[in-house]
Amino acid sequence: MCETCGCSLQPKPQIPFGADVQFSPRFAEPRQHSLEESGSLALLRGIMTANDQQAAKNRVLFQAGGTFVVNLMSSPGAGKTLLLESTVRRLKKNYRVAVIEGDLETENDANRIRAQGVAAVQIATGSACHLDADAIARAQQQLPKGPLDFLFIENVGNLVCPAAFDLGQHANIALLSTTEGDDKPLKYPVLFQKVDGLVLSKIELLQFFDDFSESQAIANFRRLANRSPVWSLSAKTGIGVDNWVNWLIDTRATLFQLRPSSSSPQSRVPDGAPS
Amino acid sequence: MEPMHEFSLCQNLLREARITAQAIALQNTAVKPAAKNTTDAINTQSDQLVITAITVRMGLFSGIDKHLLRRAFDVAVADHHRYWPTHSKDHRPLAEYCQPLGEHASAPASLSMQIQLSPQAQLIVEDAGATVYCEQCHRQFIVDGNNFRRHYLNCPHNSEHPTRLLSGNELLITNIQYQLQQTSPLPFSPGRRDKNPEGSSHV
Repeated sequence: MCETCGCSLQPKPQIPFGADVQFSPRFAEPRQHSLEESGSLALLRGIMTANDQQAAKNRVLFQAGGTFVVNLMSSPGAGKTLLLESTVRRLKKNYRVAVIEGDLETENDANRIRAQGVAAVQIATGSACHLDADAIARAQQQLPKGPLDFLFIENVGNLVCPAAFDLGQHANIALLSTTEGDDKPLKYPVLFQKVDGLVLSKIELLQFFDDFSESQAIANFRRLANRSPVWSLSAKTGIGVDNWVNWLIDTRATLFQLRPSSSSPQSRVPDGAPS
Repeated sequence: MEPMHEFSLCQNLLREARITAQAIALQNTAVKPAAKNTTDAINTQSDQLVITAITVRMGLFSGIDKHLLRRAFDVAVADHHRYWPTHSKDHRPLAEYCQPLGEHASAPASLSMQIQLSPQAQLIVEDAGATVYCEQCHRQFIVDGNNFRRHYLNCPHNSEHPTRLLSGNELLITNIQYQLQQTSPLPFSPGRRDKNPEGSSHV
């Protein structure tokens, strides 16, 4: 006897219907579907509306505080945290800087940033492959109160999913390290198409690799109808980092309509300054 | 935040579809009593609107895989029904979202019609491609998957020409099919029939 297939149940006695049996519907008046009751609605509504609304709220908040928000995206190990460390080192003298770190697990990245003397919030996403606008809004509340000049968001290392989520940032930046190969922009076109700038990182390794061509990487990036600036830099040795930092300072000044002279004249990092 | 990109997108899709259907249903019920006899108007307390199909327009650069989206949609519909009585409490009432939509937005929340999702709800995907504008030829070109493999987002006549992406990252609900039904006297109880109807749910 088993209870799985029902073979233990006693069959109901089957009674044949007589000729005089009248069948009646289960519900007194079955409701007929008329044309009016079924139909289709033609419309246009974004699927990401909920995320986009939250991102718009974030953006208003950042805009009001005069905070320039940069979303850094790359594959794992492209050097996002090292770039942030050397960027923060240059910016922290003259600007108020904070960092939001997104990783699946660990506080390691936030601790590396905190070692620079700058506030950092770690979002441990658990198993999520990207950050979304809600996560940023929650992390933003954990940041120390008071105005900020720069907020860097280090997204989860991933070249696919982060591209689909607006966080309320002012600029999307992608990193491409020389160890990854110069064809990556064409392999992950969605992300590289929508970024506002590309950082070619770890160029100090170029003397050891002959299979990465800087010009080829840039050409592939341009094939995606993207004419944003490209910075070749080495966060480890400091080569080219100043160009990138100056772009951040200038873009923030343009965005918030600050005259370059209104910030202190020493605020710009002089070209070729030692790291 | 959900672990999987297409799946969280499908949950967004179902939520936006229900919000939109609710808003349209509110509008219709607000119009009807004026146009017809009040007795003819849909009794929103007893009626429910069942969504049977959703059409989605997807640009080439939306970053979504069509086949994964289809699979994730089935999982999301099953998931929706599994947690149906509880998950709606986590969100704001649907009527709250509908306020800015339409001139009859001031309809009282008690008018809100029950929005249900058919367990066999279909997902229809329209591929929209992408549009690129060449600033030298002063023309725009439509790029589909095949074109993209051939010359990416370059101008098809000369790859040196500077181009701009005009469209291609849209992700829109363009149509919702529905049926109006009288609420069944028997309560709808989705129940857990088996633990994992999809087999492995790794999508």
